[in-house]
Amino acid sequence: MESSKKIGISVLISGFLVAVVILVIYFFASDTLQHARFAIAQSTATTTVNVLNTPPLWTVNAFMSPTSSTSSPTNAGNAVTWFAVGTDPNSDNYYLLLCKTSSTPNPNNSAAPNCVGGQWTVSTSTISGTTSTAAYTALAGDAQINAWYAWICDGNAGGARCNSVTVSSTFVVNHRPNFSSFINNSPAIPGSVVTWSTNASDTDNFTGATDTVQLFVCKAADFTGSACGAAGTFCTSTASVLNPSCSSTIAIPTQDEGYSSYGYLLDQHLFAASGGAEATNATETVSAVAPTIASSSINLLNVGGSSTPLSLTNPGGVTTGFEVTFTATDNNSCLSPSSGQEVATASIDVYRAGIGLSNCSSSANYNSNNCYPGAVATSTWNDICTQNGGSCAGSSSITSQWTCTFPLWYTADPTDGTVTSTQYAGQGWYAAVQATNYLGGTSTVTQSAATNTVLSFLASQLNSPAISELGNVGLNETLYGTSMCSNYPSCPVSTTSTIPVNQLVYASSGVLYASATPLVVNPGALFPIQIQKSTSTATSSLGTTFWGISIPSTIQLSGAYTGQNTFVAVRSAPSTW
Amino acid sequence: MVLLEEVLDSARQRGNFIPGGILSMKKIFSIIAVVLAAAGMAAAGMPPILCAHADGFGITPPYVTNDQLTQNSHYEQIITLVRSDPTDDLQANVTINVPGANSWISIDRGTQFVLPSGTQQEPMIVSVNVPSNAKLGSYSGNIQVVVSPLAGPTKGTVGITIGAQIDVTLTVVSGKMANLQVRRVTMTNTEVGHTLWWMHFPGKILFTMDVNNTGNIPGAPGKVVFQYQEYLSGNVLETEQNTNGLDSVQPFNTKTLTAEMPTYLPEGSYRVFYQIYGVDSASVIGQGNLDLAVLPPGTLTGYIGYGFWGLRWSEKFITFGVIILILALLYFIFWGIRRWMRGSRRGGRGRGHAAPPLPPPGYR
Repeated sequence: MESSKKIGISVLISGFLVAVVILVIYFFASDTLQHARFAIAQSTATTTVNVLNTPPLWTVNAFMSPTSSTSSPTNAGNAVTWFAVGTDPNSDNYYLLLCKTSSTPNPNNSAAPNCVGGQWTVSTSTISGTTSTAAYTALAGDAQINAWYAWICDGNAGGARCNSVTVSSTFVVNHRPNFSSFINNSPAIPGSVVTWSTNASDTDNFTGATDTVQLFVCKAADFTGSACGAAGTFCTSTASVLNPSCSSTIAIPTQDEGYSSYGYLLDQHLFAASGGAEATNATETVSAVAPTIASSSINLLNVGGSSTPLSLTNPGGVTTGFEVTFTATDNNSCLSPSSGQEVATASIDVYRAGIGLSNCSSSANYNSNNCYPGAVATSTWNDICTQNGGSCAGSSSITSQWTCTFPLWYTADPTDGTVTSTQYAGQGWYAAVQATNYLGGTSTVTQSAATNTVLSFLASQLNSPAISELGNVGLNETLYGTSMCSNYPSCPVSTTSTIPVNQLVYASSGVLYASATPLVVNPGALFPIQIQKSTSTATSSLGTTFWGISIPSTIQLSGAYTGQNTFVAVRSAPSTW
Repeated sequence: MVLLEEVLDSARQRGNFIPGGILSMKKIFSIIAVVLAAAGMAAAGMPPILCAHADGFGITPPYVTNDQLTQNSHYEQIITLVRSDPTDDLQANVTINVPGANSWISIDRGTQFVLPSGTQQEPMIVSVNVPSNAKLGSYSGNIQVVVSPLAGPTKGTVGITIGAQIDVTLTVVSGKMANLQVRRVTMTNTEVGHTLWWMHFPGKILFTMDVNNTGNIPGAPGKVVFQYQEYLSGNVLETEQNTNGLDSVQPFNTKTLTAEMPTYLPEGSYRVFYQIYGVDSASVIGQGNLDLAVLPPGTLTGYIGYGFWGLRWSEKFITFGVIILILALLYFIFWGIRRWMRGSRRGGRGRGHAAPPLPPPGYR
């Protein structure tokens, strides 16, 4: 064959091959056509076929999960995560690249591409056709709303390329609220309201309005992120733009001591503050409050705790063992913080109703007849008050039971009977109580709601040289006697050996024998001697009876004559006391 | 005119007494020895008048008073006899002098008894038993209690005994009534109630009252009402009435009554306004405020809460109904089982034995 023919056949074969290649390129991808043409041109120029790398294609467009939007922003510090699926025609691995601008990124051979104009993040090299993931941790310094542009690029070793199509949107960064101050207005007493105040705000406004913040005050540092933990909550504020606060009423009872209260601030997207006052302890200080006494709980009792009237039983002396019982109430509970008694001491005033509390409150008011103030020295009047054992049920109980014992002198005014039998009938006696807590806080002096009665006490003593009144009533006497004889008590009816009882005479003053009153036999006769009621514990009232005897001239029998006279004390009319 | 005391001085100066003479004493003491001598014995010398102390003696109260007695009434009054210096035994003699009513009155220890040494107080119960035929009206008098040494006066002396008088005023009336007075109230705290299914068991508060009945027939408070109030504001949270019956108080007696009061309040502190109603539940005979703590379970030592009877009536009915239903159900179950077992036995017999032949017609 001739060489010209050979050249012609070669040209035809080459042209045929070029035509085939062009058809193949058209067949697979129109957008690579230009390159193919270019290759063809090159090929044509170089007469070789060099198929260039093609960029990956979007199979699934880039998207965020979870979404980051104004309604569901990404908290600073949290990651914004994008996902996409790219397919590389050459089966090259690809990268998901998130850029801050729409500028076309730079692909890098055998390496991740990089953005032009700022980059959020780039995925790791991802197998073609599989899901790529790229994450960016939002920063406190990020803007609230941030544009992103997603690209996919392959990492071809010889000619890495990026898809020219970008997917774009924005992500929203929620910033922590500012929390610079957390205080409360304690000290406060149980039953009062404690308010926790803050200096707090949030600068975010991507929702169209400034974000609100909410305060949580916890009883322990156990905030779960959305609520206080097991220790409990003091209070939770409403959502507010600026300086949220909340209040809590101190329960009754609450012991007087400090209670930890930890403040936590959340913005409206439940993003907590950090630093500043976040999780700091603003101790709630509960003050001691003075105890109180319910007047109906005060009982003025007889010896031994009986509710019967008060009965004096010691002639001319002090009857001990009277009681006042009451319930002490303390809003700090009956238990002190040191597990002692919250109410430490108590004192009582005991007085006749007609005297009144105001006239029986100081030691100067002491009067054994009608006023026994607790302020008086114990050497004068010794009232002893103690808390009943076991009556305090612990720090959850406001009450404790108390018993005071006290003495009364025999001169204490009786209030029983009627106005015809005692001076102060119907008045009764009151007890007033004052309790003091362990810090010295005192209750008001509380008078019992009801009175008790001091019974009349009729007592006397024949005491040289007179009859002493040793009770609390005025006295008269009933006097009677027996005849005297040497054979007493079997006195014969005899004018010579028996001195008749009526030979003895008595009078209230020195009078002639004939003017005195003859003694009679039982039941005798009332002798209105009118011994006044004793009013002093130092000296009792006395009454003197003047006696005389006349020995009948008919008496013949000599010897010792024996007889018996009887003095019966009788309560006199109160007008003579 | 010669004063008695002047005569005494004169007698002391003379140192003897003669028949027809007058001895006057300014003051008489516990024991006075009066030695009389005939004129012929004057030379032998006369002992002087002797004086000595006696113990203080008293009674409380010095009266027995009751203006609400009726025929067949029984009334008791304790009189406490007291001594200031009980170093010796003393003989007590009681004399009753109440015209028209002497026979009604008795002393638990009799009219003569001993006050032993060393005992400063001795109670004496004066009982009044009004007979069925007693006339209406007032009876006044006294009871005298005289104490003296057991041995009597020393020979040659005039013994001095002392005593005290109990004034007695008794009034027999025809009207009968109970008159209750509240002397003392106390209240316990309570533990919080609890719930089991539909049953709410309330906390139980024991409210104790000393009630004195000065009337002449037995009577009991009609009811006790608690108004539970918020501790600070006083807002009423709950109102309850006693769940138990209140004992009757006998006439002229005092008795401690306990009302069981329920509460459904949660743990916390409350104020209770109590009202105690009289016999007819129309009048309030005692009221006041007390403080209450409703405490966590297990806080109070010896606390016993309500059982079934503490439930509200509606809950009791429900519980009762449920029990009836369960019993009925059990009955039907057992009845069914029994019937099934009988049926099984009958079936077994039928298979194993032929039915007996019918009697021939006309057979009797």
